[in-house]
Amino acid sequence: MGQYILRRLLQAIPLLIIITVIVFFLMKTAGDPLAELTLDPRITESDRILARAEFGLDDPLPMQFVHWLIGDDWYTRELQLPIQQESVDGTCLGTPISEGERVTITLDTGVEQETLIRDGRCYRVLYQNGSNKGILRGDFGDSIARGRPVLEVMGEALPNTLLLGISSYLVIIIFAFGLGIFQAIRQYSFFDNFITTISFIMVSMPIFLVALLSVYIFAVQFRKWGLPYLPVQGMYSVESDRSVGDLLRHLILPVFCLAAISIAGYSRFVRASMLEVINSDYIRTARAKGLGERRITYIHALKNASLPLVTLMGLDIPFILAGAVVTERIFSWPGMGTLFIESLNRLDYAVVITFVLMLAIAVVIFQLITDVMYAVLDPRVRYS
Amino acid sequence: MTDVSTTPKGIALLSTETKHTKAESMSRIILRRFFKHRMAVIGTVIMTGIVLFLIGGAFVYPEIEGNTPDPTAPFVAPTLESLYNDAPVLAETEIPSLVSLISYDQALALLDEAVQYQMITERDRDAVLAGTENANRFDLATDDAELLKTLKIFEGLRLIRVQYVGITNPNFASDTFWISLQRFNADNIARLRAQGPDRAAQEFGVTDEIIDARVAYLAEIESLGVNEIMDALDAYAIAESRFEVTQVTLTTEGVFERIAELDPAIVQGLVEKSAQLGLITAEQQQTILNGVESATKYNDQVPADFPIEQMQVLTWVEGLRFYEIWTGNLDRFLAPDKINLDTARTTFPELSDEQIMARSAFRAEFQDTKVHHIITRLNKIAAADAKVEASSSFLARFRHVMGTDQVGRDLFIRMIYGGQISLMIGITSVAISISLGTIVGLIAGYFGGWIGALLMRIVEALLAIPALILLLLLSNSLSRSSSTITLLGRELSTTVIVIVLIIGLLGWMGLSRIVRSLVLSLKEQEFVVAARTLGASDARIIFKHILPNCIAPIVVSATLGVGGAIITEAYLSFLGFGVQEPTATWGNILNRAQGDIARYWWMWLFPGIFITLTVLSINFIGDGLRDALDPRSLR
Repeated sequence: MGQYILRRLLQAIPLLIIITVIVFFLMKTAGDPLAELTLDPRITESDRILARAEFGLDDPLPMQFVHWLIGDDWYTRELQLPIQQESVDGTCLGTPISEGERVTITLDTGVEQETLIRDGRCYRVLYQNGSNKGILRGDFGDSIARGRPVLEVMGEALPNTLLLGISSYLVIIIFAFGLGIFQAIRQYSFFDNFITTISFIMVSMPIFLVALLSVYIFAVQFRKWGLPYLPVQGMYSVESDRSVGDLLRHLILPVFCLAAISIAGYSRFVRASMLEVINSDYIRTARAKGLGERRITYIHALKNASLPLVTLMGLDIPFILAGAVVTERIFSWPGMGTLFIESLNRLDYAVVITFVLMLAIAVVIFQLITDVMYAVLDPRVRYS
Repeated sequence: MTDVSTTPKGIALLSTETKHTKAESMSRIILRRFFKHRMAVIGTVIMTGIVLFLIGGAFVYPEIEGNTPDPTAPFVAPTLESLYNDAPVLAETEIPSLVSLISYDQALALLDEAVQYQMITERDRDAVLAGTENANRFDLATDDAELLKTLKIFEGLRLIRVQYVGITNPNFASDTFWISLQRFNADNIARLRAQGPDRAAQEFGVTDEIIDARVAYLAEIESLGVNEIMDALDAYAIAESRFEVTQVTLTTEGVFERIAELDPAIVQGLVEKSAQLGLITAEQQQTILNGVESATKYNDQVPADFPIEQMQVLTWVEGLRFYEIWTGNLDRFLAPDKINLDTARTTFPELSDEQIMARSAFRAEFQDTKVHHIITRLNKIAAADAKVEASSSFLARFRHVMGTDQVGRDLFIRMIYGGQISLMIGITSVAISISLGTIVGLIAGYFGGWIGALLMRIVEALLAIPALILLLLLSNSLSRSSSTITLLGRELSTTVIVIVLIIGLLGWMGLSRIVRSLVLSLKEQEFVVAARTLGASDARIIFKHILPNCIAPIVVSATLGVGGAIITEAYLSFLGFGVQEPTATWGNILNRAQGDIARYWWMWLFPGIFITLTVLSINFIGDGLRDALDPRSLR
């Protein structure tokens, strides 16, 4: 087993490398994240060059990738910062220099300054090392849009998303199993048909329709009718005391939307796999033995029926985190989805790449956990 | 291992003489089995309905060009009759009387304070003072110039969006200046401050002094009664925008009384002067004085007490409007004291300095007569009339059955066009992903080896990232620049093609796995072994023997894939990364509603319902096909 896990983890490494390369180049070709700096008249050209150098935006693309991987603190960039708009008759800081030539001038302060003239403008030359350590040394870079380390930015968003994801996941499991088992026991009853129809519709519904409808009904219309209405923006009300109660009230609608759609799909699955098990021989044997119906359903049948579900749900957990993008957007939930969309819009590549990488790692790990769980739950499965 | 005779191809291979009839009866069986499925029938019926709607709707529904924004068209919603009734009253009496309580200097001071407390930028202030387009519709509300200027300040302020919203997509900035200001009530701030010394400053991102100043500002505004003005302006804006009828009523209201008061000599002078300055030809001048044809429509619009001798003046004014004397010529010239000759010379290179100055002087004269206000109103009437005419088919009484969007485009026609695009995206992208998935699955399954292993690794890599995230990434890179192309006689945004490609290129992995595992088991079966023994080439085996046996899962996943692709497109467009305007899809119609889902409920409800219905019917059909094509039940 240990060997199996190790092998699976090793297999994941090339996968992660491929993903990193693809996402990195996709983001880099999407556009210049600091393009708007050129539009702001308050930012001088020197500031712009320094800001771009800080993120290594002007390095050649393959070099940028290397820096992102192993850092750029060993790499020296040569920056040419303009000091005069125009160089009159070829002088720079009072010293005559010819075009293209580099001269070191000693300033009044005693500092030695290398200068040059290019296209009739005077520049001072600055040599500067990067400050990024690279992801292989655990540095995921700084967010361009926020000016803070990526991990810090993500560390703020992740708990919010986990809160939303885990609470909706609990709701999904409870309802999916409850409904699915109930439907399977009463196959073709009115209740069964009714739930089947509803889940068919829910599966076909885009999540934003569910979200917008519930916002419209429970927030907008309830307020209009003078009923107690639910909040729809963010995690806390502005004027609130940030209590747990307030948080729970804010959780209701997003969790409802995330759960509504998934419950529909899962409960159909639970129903199908329960039906398959209930009609099998060993259940008939258990009945013949005189076991109680309750015991048969919940112990004998459910245990076997839940095997395929473990696979399905285990594989879906990371996707739930990503799938919350739309929901978080609608409810302004300050989680990973919102962070991802904002970062995409602002071309904040460091955040985007880290997000995708984390997601991929989560997928790999959950796949592994699922496989292991499968072996634990089903003694027939053995890994070689 | 399954018996040879259980696979349809196997049957055909063993009994070649009955091959034809077998195949025929097989398709019959499939059809019969399909229509025995109740859900599948329902799905087919809904789908047929949607397709008929998308194809036929555009012919039956009045020919309103869905893709051209028509700024004159109003918002339309099927309710709020009361507001509609109130609107003229609001504009003519209530709003001016509310505004008259505040002097122009007071309003100006409020505006400056807003700049000072960093609630609006200086550029915003200048824009407000210049008079926004929205504010100009109050031109006829009052004769008091001071009052009008004050009114325009408030209307401008009402419209200003909060700056620094932080998100690049303007669709997400829905807060207005006033709504955001409401958060600065003293109770709110006190509560925040009780939680910690920096909480308030942190929440609003400004210093405590500015917060205090804003609280005081809000109190000042309340004492002045500005809030009532804002409410009235809001109500007016909603009312005016909601009903086309309102538009006609509002524009005709008061305009004929003004014409009745006009001095015929002045209007005649304007016409003559226009001809002298070369704004119209002598021929056109004659037409105006004789009466342009379009003037006849006012015959049944003028009120009963309209003086009959003024009909001639009305005709002349209509002529001036018809030849765009004001809107097409004069309003581009500044008054003589403001005009900059250098700029004017470059703008109007064909005119001499004297001509420029003459026109500038004429503009001032024209403005003094206030005839241009009347022309603006008549223009609106003309626009409303054009719209009525455009939609005068047998469905005219249901004009705008689904309302319009913020720029006045008819939602029903956009639903039709958008649905065509959405379905087109669904079908073409699935065509791409199905071919890719089948080819990859066949190769990986049949040849195996390192090619198969490599292909399956790629599949795993692509499946390791949630599809929506990958799609957003790709769309973000590829659809940033958008131009238009002409396809099948329709102007489309190039993002349509980008979206089709990326949905197609990222949707094949599931099918390739299914096909691969099928091929793996099929290629060991006797009929394949037999074919190989008979010397059939790889290509023949793959396409003649293996592929036909994979058709069932391919057809099923193609059907379900169309539904998936439509939903995916909707998600992308909803998040602002999908097909870009002006091309409509169900997804980006929805996107426009995001600003205020309570106010624009029809803009998300109708596309949402259509997406759900389409996907639902596709899922039904897919389920039916799955059962009908199930080889186990074909015997």
